[in-house]
Amino acid sequence: MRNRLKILRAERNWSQADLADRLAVSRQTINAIETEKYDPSLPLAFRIAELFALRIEDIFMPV
Amino acid sequence: MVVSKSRFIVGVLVLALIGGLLGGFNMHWSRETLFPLYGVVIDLCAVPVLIMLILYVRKLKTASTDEFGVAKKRYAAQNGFIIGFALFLISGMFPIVFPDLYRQFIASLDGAHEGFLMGRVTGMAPFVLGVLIGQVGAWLKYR
Repeated sequence: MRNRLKILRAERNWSQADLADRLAVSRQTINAIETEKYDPSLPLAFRIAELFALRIEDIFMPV
Repeated sequence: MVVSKSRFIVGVLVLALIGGLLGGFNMHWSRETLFPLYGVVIDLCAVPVLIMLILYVRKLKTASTDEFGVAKKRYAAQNGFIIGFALFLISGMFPIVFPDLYRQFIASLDGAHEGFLMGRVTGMAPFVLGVLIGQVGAWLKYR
């Protein structure tokens, strides 16, 4: 699944560690999602959407 | 992940310590003819504490577990088991493909007991190797 996490993070000047802290996950999780090696669980996808005040489909797109 | 891994490890250690102390205490007194009254009191107090601690450590485990970490471990375990089973099947072909070598190997064993031990080791080795390969595979995929 493609995603805009890296762009959204860069827009806010957050590091991967900052975003990981805000989402209560590890930095490796953020890295794996950004590099599209891992698709987050639905609860985490909702937390990401809530954090960026966007809809899930505005962040994650099917390949 | 809202709790650090170290807190979970401390929780597990405390749990093991209390469990060990309680187990040791009861093991000691089970060999005596009479179980002292204070032993009953200690058991009555310690067992609920132990149960509460188990529940607390379970909570700590959930809170300190990262979902990507779980996915990584699951990937490693699944692949490890499949690779282990494949290696186990391949190792089973050894007597068919190399019958002379196999007979030579069997003849080199010193009795049934050594055969039994060797069977245990060679039966387990492919799965141990599989687990190792699975871990390395997961590490390479998600590094």
